[in-house]
Amino acid sequence: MGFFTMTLTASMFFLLPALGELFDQRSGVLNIGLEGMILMGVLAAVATSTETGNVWLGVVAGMAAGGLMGLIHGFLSISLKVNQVVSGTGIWILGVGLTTYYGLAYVGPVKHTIAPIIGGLTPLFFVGLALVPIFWFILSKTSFGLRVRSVGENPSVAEVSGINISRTRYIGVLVGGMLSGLAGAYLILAYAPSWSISWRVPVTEGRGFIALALVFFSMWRPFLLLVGSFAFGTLWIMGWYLQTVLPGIPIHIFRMIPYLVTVAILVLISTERFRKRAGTPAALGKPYFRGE
Amino acid sequence: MRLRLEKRIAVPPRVSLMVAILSLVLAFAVFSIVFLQSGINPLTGYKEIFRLAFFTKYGLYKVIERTACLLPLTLAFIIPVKAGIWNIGAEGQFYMGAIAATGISFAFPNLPMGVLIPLMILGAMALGGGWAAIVGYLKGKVGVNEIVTTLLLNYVAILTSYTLVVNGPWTDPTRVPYSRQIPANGCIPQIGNTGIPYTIFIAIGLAILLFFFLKKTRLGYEIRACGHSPAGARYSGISFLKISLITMLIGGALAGIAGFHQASGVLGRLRYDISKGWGFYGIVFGLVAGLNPLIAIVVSFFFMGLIYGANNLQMSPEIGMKFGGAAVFIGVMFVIFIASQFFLRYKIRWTRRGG
Amino acid sequence: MEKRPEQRSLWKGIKRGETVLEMKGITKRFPGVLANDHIDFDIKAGEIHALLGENGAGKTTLMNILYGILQPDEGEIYVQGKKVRIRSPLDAISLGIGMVHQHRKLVPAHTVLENIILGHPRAGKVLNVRRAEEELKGLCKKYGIKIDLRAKVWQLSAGERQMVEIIKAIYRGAKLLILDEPTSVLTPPETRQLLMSLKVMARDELAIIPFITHKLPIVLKISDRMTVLRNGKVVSHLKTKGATMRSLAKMMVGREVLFRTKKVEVKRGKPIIEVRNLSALSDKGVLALKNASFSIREGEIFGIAGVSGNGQHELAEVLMGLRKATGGKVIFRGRDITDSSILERWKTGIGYIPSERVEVGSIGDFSLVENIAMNLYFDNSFSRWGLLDYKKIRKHTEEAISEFDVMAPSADTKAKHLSGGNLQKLILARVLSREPQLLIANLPTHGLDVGATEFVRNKLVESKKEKIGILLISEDLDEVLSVSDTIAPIYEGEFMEIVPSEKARRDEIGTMMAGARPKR
Repeated sequence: MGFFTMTLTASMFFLLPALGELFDQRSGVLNIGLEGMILMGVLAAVATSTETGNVWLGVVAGMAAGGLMGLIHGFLSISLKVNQVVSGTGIWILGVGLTTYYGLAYVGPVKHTIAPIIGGLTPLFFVGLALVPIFWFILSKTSFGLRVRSVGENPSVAEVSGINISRTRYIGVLVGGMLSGLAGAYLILAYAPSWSISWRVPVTEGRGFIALALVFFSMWRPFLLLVGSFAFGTLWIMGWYLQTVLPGIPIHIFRMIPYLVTVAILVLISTERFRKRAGTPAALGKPYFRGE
Repeated sequence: MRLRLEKRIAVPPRVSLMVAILSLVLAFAVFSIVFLQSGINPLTGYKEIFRLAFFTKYGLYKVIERTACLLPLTLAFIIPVKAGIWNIGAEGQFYMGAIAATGISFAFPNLPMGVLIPLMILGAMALGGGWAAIVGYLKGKVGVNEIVTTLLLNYVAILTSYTLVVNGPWTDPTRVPYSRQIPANGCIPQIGNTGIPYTIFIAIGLAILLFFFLKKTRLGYEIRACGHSPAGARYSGISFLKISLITMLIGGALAGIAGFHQASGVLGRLRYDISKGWGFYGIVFGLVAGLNPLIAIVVSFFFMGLIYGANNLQMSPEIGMKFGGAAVFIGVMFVIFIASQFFLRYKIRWTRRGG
Repeated sequence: MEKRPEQRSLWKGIKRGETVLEMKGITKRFPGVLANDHIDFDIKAGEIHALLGENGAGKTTLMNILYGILQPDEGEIYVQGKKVRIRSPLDAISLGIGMVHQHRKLVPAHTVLENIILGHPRAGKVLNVRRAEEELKGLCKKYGIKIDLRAKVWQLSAGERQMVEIIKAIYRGAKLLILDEPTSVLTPPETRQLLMSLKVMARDELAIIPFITHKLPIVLKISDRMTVLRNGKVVSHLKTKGATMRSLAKMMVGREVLFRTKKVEVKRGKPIIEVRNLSALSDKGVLALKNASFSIREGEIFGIAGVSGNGQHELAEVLMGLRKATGGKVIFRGRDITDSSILERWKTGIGYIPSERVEVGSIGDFSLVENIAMNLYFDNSFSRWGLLDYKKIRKHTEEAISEFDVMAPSADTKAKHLSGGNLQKLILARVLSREPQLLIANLPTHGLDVGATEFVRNKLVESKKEKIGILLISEDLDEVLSVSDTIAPIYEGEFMEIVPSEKARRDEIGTMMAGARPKR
């Protein structure tokens, strides 16, 4: 695979969960359990495709598993009004637990994978690419999108306008979870089709957290998210690449770059000049209580 | 009839205890599915978890040893969150503490134990605290979201340990991918032959100290004021930057001590997998403890016991190699305990519908 | 799901003067409070029916029930004689009921248009922006309202925002419009404009219920009928014709009210604070305070009269160090404190009573003892070796509670369980116990009932004897006139004039608050 194809492939793994998280956050729910949902997607996808021999059923199963985890997060943080950070942490630990246990049976190279169609890229890549304008359109041009954004900005206003807050947020976590699950399926069936489990570094290698940070980086705009994903995909692949060019330096140093760059970008967009334009959903992270 | 939620004004201890017991029962009930899948009688399974953790000498010592690690990590979450700052980075601060402790022991291998160990502790606190204080500064000065920055810096810290021990400068050539052993005078002694390092006393002492710190001191008051109402605290002349820096510094230093404990007291070296996600356990433990440092002692002991028991069910003659689902057990338990928080904050009433 | 009642059929063929809505025996209990006690209320087409009462009388609860935000424990609602159940705002909207809230219910980050079409059934799956824009322009023209539909809401003034909410309700087909404290944020000309628009709307067979607490003159001017509530009960249903300010106030409070404050005459001493050419930005980044210059002496109350949003809030915050000055100087007792921290200002003898007493002036989850500690924790006489002397603070708290007549079960009660008036007394006690030289009181009686208002005003006036200088910020012109020694009407961040109270004339100050330059 060429450097460019590798970059695009890697980027898509950031884009998919980040897009879901963007949608989720626009409705006011922060989900730091992304990584756990992606892992569940990986597990469901690899299990289903191995058992049925059909990769597309694997993709569907991955999305379903991610969506289910999203609904659990929703139940905890929307219905039970538990703090979203704590709920996300729990979801993540649960996801890691389920994956390490039930994934044991599928360790090794994946039997059925999704074949590339154009230039080394799989159909899932193009699906992900198409989702960007679709999400943009839904969020900024449709009535539904306006409702989602309003719930994330000011749920009590949305409620008096006749919007069901819980339902809208549940849709948010569901979409977020499904896209994370899709990312998991993409990872294991198309991108890196080998399932290994070691404690510290599950297959996702912590990239779910970069995806989370990317949402902040994108200032909640799908097209900026696309740009960010490509930038971080490039950085990620550069790590491998630079290692071959500069063999004296350990790869882990390069691996740090995306994380450090993300921190730097977060600092930048938090400064006075950018904060006003950033458009952080005002109700992000806050549970909604009626009549308070 | 319909459900109505009422906010509780105060939570009586009796209610907290009941909620905890019911959560445990529910978690056990749910997890029974996994036991049954593996052909294990759930009742035997839970009996064995308790027996291994709390009723065997070896197990109990192990659980106490782990409490010495988890308690500071729990406190590392509690102190900043009391000021309204979410430290999700105890994991990374833990690594930094372990790295500092190990590094100092390698740099001064010939110092006497009485000098080297305090130096290692201070180093671990400084690096862990400093690592966290970066986030505290960015949060207080610029308003950068601390949840995301702590999460990201975790990976930088973990990758730093990789750089050092996986084919790095500290790698033990005989035991890749671990570091060389910490010199003997850099290993904190253990109580008798229990295998429990003396750090357990540091951990419990700190929990008690921090309880009174929050309750009685001026700084503790300022921290709580920030947590309850940033605007009110600012009005009273409390500098959020100061509080953000101090609480993250304390939190990071606490996690650093846990890192020291693990490297110097338990493993005797730095490993890339020195934490098993324990920095995140602290978040759940802190929540279950109601952010109370004293209750955190009990909570971390009890939970680490259950986790130890589940992790070591293979050692049970009645279960043996049939079981490997400890990670699922942890996940299920955590999610149910998190959910149970709801019942501590709300009363559910059935009311007749009006109108 | 049950089908929602169709509004069109309900409102067809309604004639002026017909009863369109009836609420019968509405009762609502909250833990420990009977908010509504068998309230009857009705409204006719084409009338403006004012709902009067003090804070806590139950107006908001009643209207929230009508709008479906709350469910009554007992009682029935009839629209056009048909019994209805209003379970959510959506039900209310379908019945043609619209509400404009006291706490603005708009999304600041969205445009005016987005806010108006939010949740609108005809917005279309894909937002049909152009059609909505045309329809709204027509609506604005009809009622004489000027608003930029594409502006973001956070850029609008308080009055404009309220207009957006009214248009939003009408655009959604509201035939019955509930207005919560509609004039509290408006300048006098804006108020006139609103009243005119409301008259046009009422003529359009809309029924309008504005409900108002303090602004009795407006009620008398605009409404056809009134219902007065007190402690959750209806005191009286009456026609506006023939009612007087005095009789209404008596009904609301339950006793004869004398809006009168004791006069305390003291000799003015040395200047405490001098402000020179002070400027500051608002939260939106707009220049809100422009070159303000004044000074306050010992024993002087310097009253700033102005409608909210004219820079007085920014001035108070700059003086307390909560906001940065972009220009000018603040000299306190001869020392430049322009860049001092908030803590330094507390320590040097400046005290601040913020307008946001719940969000800023107190900490709801803290006990009264801990709330009192907000201004004492840094004082070395209340701490030793970094430990707070809670025993001493508790004693201090108990003294404050009894001296200022704070109604609270104990010093361990959480502040969030206090009523607004008691909370304000607690804050006042706390700040005055520091014996400040300068007291900044930002809307100290806003939203308080008559009793608490009198108490606070008298405390302010009495403290002149202690040689305290007071900066009083108020939206209530009568309050400023009755309490202050010096009066400064403020408009768009500028003092129109600074006059001694003996020379101040009510009507002149009133027009200056609305932007008129002094004639002299």
